[in-house]
Amino acid sequence: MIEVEGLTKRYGDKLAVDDLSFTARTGRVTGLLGPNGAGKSTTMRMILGLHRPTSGTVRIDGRSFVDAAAPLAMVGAMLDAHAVHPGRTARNYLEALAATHHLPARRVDEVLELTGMTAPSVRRVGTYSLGMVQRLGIAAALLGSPGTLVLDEPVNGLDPDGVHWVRELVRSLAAGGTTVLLSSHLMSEMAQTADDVVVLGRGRLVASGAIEDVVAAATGTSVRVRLVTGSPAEPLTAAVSAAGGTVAERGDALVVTGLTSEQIGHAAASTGSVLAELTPQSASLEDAFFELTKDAVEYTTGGTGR
Amino acid sequence: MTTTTTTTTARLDFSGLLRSEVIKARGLRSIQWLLALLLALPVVTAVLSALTADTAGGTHDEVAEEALSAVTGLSWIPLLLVVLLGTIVATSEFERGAVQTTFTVAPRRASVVLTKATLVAVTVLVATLLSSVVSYLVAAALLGGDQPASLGDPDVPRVIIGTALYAASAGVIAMCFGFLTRSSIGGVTATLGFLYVLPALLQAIPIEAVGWFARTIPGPASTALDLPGHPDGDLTFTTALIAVIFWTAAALLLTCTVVRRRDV
Repeated sequence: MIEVEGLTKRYGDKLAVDDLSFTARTGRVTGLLGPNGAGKSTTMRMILGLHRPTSGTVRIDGRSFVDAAAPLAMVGAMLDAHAVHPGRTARNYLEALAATHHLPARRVDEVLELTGMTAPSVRRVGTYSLGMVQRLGIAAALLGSPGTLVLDEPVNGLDPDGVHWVRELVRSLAAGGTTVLLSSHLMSEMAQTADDVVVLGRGRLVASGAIEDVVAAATGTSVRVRLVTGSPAEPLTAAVSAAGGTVAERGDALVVTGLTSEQIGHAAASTGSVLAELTPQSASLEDAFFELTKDAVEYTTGGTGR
Repeated sequence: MTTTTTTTTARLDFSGLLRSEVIKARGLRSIQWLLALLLALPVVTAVLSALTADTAGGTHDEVAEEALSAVTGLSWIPLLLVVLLGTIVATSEFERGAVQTTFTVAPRRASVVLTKATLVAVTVLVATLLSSVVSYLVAAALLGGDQPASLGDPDVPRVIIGTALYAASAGVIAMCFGFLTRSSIGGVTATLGFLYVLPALLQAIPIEAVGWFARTIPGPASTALDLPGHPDGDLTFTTALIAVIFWTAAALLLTCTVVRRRDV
């Protein structure tokens, strides 16, 4: 479990992260979501002790990471997959990491195997493609079999196969009890991977919670209702409004917000309206994201800056 | 947290970090090359020096002096290699931000600085001792004579050990400047500036205390360690050794403090 409390980071005049609090729970995948410059990477750096917070605290499983007896086994991290000296081989890089914690040599073989990097591991990292570098970064993060994983944009540069593989990997690790925190600005990716999301905009917390709740809260759920041809809309509209729903006409259908499909079904039965369609509409995470961060996008295309 | 794999108990400690640094150093070709040159070049220069010396019919003392100067005459060449080596051990971390991983794995960063310092000091000390002894023996053999120079001759143990100690110190100081400047060029420039330019500037100031202070900086202080004979006004071997160790420790303390506080 990662507990972030009142985390603030100021670089000179610029407030990169502003009083951020959230919890990434054990056994769940938590997505850190936000547009470029929202403070995702800065937050991850502070969680790992690489940047000192201006104020606020981070605890991992209730403890401070910096004082861990075995940091590599406590948190596995990939911040910038390219953060490897290009003149080293992947194997040399992983063996050096493993040596710090007296991990057996076979653990290096295991993570190379797991990430499909066994064959290229004898080559120097400078010769790797983006996807291979990314896989090596994930291999390094998994090396210590950590209880917590922190991955910054883990699917960046991966092909569809690789994206699928990362998704399956973090899902299965979370199912096994690992706390997973990953960042992305790809909403669709998050929708398929994360259980919980923490949405950031300009360093501030915009929304957090289970992904369905955040999406629902941001967009409001609506139900599409269509009556059979010839059935008058008026009685149903009145009943829905009386029950507290809002009705909007859209083509030959009605869009009801504020009521569940079940409540609408009851309203239809009481007025004798015959329904041809009753479909709950779930907004996409993409919609939710735009809705949440529209006021907090740092680099607005064609804008006049701040 | 629970993971199903059974691994031996993972623990971060000095011996693990040291082994990691050895693996890292082995993985970089630049370090391999510098180490090879550090071992070989002094022998080459000693051979050239001995072959061009004219000691025919010289006394034993003359031959011994010539053999020793074959070792010390061009000692700035290996010293430059040592400064490069020390700097690169630190600055290789800043190549593409590799230090992020290093400091995530060892969040108490001072341990990384101290392990690297140990690696540099031991490697340079052993390599320099080895190449100096071999250089001296080769030079002595080439110079020959009725009573050839030997390792037991006056000044020889002091110069050979002193050279190695000063080289180890210069390597560690270079590593510190590599960490502080985060740039290879910056590290080398700062090290040479500190060892030689700064004391020269200070010694130009005609105040006795300033001159004395300048002579404690490892560059000038090392003359009592690695040069045959004692020019007037120099420190004694012991004082020079203390000064060199003190400055090295000061550089390490400053580096640990800065590295711990800095965002990476």
